[in-house]
Amino acid sequence: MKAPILEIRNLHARVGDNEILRGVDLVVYPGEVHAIMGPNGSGKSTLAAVLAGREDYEVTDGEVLFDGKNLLELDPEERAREGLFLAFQYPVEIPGVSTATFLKTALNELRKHRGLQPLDAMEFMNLMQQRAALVKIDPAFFTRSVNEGFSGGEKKRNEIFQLAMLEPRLAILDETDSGLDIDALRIVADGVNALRSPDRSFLVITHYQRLLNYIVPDVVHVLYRGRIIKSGTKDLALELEAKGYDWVKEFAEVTA
Amino acid sequence: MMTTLEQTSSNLSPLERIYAEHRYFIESLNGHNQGKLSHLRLRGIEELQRLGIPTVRHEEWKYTNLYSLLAKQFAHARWVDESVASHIVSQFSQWGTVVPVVNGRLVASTAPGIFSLKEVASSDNQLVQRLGTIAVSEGNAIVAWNTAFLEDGVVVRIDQHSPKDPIIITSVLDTRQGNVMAHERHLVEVAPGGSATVVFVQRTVGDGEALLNQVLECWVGENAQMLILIVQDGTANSHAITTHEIELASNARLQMVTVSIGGGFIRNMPAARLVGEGAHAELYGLTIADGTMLVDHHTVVDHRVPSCTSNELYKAILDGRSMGVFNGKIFVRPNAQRTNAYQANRSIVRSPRATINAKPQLEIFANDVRCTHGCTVGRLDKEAMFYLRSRGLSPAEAEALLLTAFAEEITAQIPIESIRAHVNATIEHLFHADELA
Ligand SMILES: Nc1ncnc2c1ncn2[C@@H]1O[C@H](COP(=O)(O)OP(=O)(O)OP(=O)(O)O)[C@@H](O)[C@H]1O
Ligand SMILES: [Mg+2]
Repeated sequence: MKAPILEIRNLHARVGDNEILRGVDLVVYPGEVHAIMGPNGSGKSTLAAVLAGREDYEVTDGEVLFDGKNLLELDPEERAREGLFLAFQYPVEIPGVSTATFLKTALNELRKHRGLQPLDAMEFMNLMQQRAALVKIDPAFFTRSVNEGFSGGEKKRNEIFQLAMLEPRLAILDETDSGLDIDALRIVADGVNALRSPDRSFLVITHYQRLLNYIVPDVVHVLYRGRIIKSGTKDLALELEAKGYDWVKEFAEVTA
Repeated sequence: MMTTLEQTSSNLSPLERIYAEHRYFIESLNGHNQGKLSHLRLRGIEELQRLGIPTVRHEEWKYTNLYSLLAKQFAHARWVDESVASHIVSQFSQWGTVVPVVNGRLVASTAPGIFSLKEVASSDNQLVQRLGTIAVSEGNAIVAWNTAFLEDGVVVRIDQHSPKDPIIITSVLDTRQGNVMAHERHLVEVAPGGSATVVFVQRTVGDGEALLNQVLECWVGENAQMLILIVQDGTANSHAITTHEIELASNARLQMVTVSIGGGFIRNMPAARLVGEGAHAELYGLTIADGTMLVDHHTVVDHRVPSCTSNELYKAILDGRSMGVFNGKIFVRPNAQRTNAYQANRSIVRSPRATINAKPQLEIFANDVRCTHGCTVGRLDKEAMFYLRSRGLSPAEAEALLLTAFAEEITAQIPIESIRAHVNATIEHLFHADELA
């Protein structure tokens, strides 16, 4: 078996006095899709943010290896260049910066890191067209400011479009399905499935089992109070859908 | 010639120095001090004597220390070497019709409808009937100072048949014989239904310090349109005090864009007076300052009659030890009902030693009025920075992208492609230089 792409060991993180992650352990291998579920406020977005390098959180214990490297000592842009991608739960609006300019700068930065030449205007345009088709994004969006005035669903789709452009090795999707209508959910899921490959992994944070019908996970985890309290197959998601979280919370009490 | 003054001047106070230079100036006119100009000059010097040069104790000059600038001992420029203009003219010729003014003197009136004030003011010319009526010496030390030294400038008269080429008034200050100050007086009249574009640029020749005191009086007739672009992108030894006063007749439109991205000490005092119903004025300003640069905008939008609209947006990006000042006055006079006026000022302060002093000043004397303003001072949006970095952009690249977007909201208002491109390229270079640092 290949080496893991991501290894999280006993990760603790806090904001001020508020300890949010309280010992997360998680190992993801290349090509795998892991789903992370869990009640509101359990720390899912915090985990995603800590992995992406947001500075608001202080890591107090534990380690994270990304492709064997110490992820926590890298700056956010270095993590991105190493192949980490976070689809934000709340994508940020950036007035005055066009999607095309932004993505061109980002992509060429990643290419430089990989020792590749920057794409010229034609090649870049072609790539954008092709990847936009994958998530059925109207090319009119290229010249619009990043996320500005986008509907909730458009913002989410734009995240997956960026994912398709930047071709990361590990993509973290933070509730990309929430706010999507039924058709858009399908489109996003098809897009993600098209991007699945033996050396690309996904961490899919979601509240809804429905997404997992489309993007079928290899493993499902339940995060509760800053810890993964249960892991299982895709059937765990079905069980949670049917029974709610109360019964798994008991595992937390046992292990706490 | 200059020697007599130079020898005695070093221990004079700035005002004494101005009086001495004024006497010298009047003498040098050799009996040509007659007629309209002489009358205005006299009123100018008298008013300057009465008011004095404003100090920082003066509310309007609280942050902008003119005395410390005048310590550089600028001599009223009396020499003109026309040859310095030619290579500067060629820099701007693709923008439009370049009218070079060297050390305050127009060196060649090049196109139909463009005249030298010195030439047309000698007769009782219709062209100069508004001279001294839009920008008046009374109560205004800077205009009084300019008027005391009134000699030359560009007079433009535009009607429906005039060429549409932008007029590029290019102030060249030649410091090769020492620090200089030049007074320019420009007069632009747009006849009813006409449309004019005037662009102001400034260049300093030599390593000395140069101070420009530029006054524009502009009348925009009924249904006429006026576009004024001020591109302040000079070197640190280029200083400017500008007074651009514009009066708008009914249904006239003014758009004014001031880009202050280079220079030393800059004080701009644009005033738009809406004196005809249905007139509309838009004022935009962009400051990008670093080092010890000072950029001070004191703007006036004066709604004097009913049913006029105005819109004002000034933005600043301040770094190093630079200082930005924005004072925006909006007057809505008692009968100016149905006024709609908006003003906004947004600044980004990038260094702990850079400062912005912003003060909106709305004086509303009518009741049926919509008049709003907004003022923000901040740093770059942290969330946006993280978003960009999480996609692989370095902090410097992310900043450059966000700052460029911030600045381009103003430069997008420059409707002339070649000028907008020049300004955007300069800005890009400024931010890119940061990135490499
Ligand atoms: N920057 C912060 N400052 C203070 N508290 C924070 C911060 N970020 C997260 N928290 C708190 O940490 C807890 C976990 O938040 P997080 O956003 O990670 O939850 P989540 O599992 O993603 O929830 P949801 O399902 O609602 O998205 C919450 O109680 C939240 O209020
Ligand atoms: Mg969340």
